[in-house]
Amino acid sequence: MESHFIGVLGFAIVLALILARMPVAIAMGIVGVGGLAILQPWKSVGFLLGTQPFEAVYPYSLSVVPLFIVMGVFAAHAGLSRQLYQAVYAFIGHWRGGLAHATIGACAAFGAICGSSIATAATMCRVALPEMRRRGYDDRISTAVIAAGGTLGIMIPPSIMLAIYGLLTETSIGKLFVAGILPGLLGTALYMSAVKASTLIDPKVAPAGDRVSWPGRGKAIAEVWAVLALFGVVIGGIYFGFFSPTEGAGVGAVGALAFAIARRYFDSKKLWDAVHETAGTVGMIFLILIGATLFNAFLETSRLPAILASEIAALGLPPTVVLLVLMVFYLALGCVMDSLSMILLTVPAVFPLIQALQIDPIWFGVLLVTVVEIGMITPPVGMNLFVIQGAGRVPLRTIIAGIWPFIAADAIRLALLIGFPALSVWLPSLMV
Amino acid sequence: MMRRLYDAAVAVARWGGVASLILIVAAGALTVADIVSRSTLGSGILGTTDLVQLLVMAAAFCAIPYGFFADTHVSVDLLTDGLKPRSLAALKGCSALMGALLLVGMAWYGGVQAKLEAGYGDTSSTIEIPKLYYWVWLVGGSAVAAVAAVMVAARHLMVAAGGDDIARRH
Repeated sequence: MESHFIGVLGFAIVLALILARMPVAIAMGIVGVGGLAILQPWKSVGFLLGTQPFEAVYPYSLSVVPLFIVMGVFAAHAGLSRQLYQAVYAFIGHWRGGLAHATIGACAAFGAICGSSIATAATMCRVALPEMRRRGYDDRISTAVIAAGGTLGIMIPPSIMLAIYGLLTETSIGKLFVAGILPGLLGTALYMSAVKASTLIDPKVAPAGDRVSWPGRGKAIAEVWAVLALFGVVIGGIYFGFFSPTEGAGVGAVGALAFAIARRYFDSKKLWDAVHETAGTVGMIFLILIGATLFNAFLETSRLPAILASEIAALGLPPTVVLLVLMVFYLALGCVMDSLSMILLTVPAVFPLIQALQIDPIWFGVLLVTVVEIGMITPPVGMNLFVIQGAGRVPLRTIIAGIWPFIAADAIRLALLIGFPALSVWLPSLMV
Repeated sequence: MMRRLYDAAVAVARWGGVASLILIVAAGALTVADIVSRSTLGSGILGTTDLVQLLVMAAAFCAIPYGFFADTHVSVDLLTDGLKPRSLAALKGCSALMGALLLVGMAWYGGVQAKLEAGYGDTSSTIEIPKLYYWVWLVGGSAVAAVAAVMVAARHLMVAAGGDDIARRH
């Protein structure tokens, strides 16, 4: 059997094991080692099994991931999300669907200091869902708005997914972060339009709230100065070249911790929750990185990515057509797979094709993260849907019933990002 | 006996989780100190990159065992949700055993590589920290994670065989 067929077989086995509930990291690692053992003598496999995990964890640029995770965890436990929510609500809460709009706005703002969709969705669920229920919002719109709003955390910088994509493809993480700003804002505006459309169709699902006075608005804004300062320092510092993304992440982590300590938000339970979230997420991400590194070593040995790239390039299809096919592939994959696994499993195989077709890696990164975002709210395996189901104790079918306007908004955003690449690549092109 | 072993392994993994958070915060604090030193004194702290790499390496391998007990390692339950509890436990047990196998391989061959690099006297690029200090976390962390995976496998396989869930208090 030719080596690239063994690569295809390996891919199929990994998917089968993942669907049989094997943790993604273990499935990729085991199949990677098994595949290497077929293609190479055991001595080389042993060498790779010893060195690849080290190479997966050692790079300095990878430090950005745990540091941003810690920043998000401290920000969530320090109550920043509630203050952001109240600040946005003070300005637009009196609109019809105002609380839903405020949730989207607060998700976007919290995403700017968090970097993780699941953390954003879980945090905003605790903050926004009780309030929306109290005001008589229908559970369909209130849960869907949090699930969709949560996905903004994956695009608005700092984005852990964009950082991992940057590490995998050796694309500038700083430029990727800046590239995520306009698509993130576009997503926010489109989600707000989806809320507007839902309230136009059925005004009873999201009644208007009370109008907040101007002094009240001033007070609410004054409460969130720390969040705005933290975001300004971290992303501004990276954008203007004062420090690298890793240094920005360090500043963000320490800044969020200092804020939490200064406001005395920590008690022993919150501290333990912070340990649980940090260790759980960091352990999960690094084990997936190790599994993916072993699997990628196998794929490279099988020469599958190189052959795939040259075969598809030889078809002479326009890059946009290939891109569209890839987006459809990712949308389908997103229905059954979680975002991180999707990126780690497929990018090493797909990226040589992107390079061969001379597609801008920053543009592709933004498109990839957009489709991954859509996957997080697409039934049946939308991770954010499960987060809200668990945290909000709501039946999955209720969330799914309200999610469709937001999926439509995402489809429009994806079309705009494909049609107008400048939305993704213009801001990075201005960077120092 | 098994329950006590399981509890002891959970306790070790929890302390690993605490250490992981502390190490990441230390990496952040060191980075901030480096930036402050660079902008006020004109030169950064020598070896910041090497030390941050060491701290993150240690944090990652302290956190991995915790992920097994906290069940945070990502898996897809789309097709297995409808299975009977004992069948599901058997599936989870087998997955954890495969994980243990992978981690034992990592620890073993990592150890071989660590010994080799220690023999060559390999060091980090700036302040020449022996590479062995980095490898120790990989080898130790993988070994502890392998034990964690074995304990989780034992727990699920005992349930699959009709026994008690030794983790029901966690």
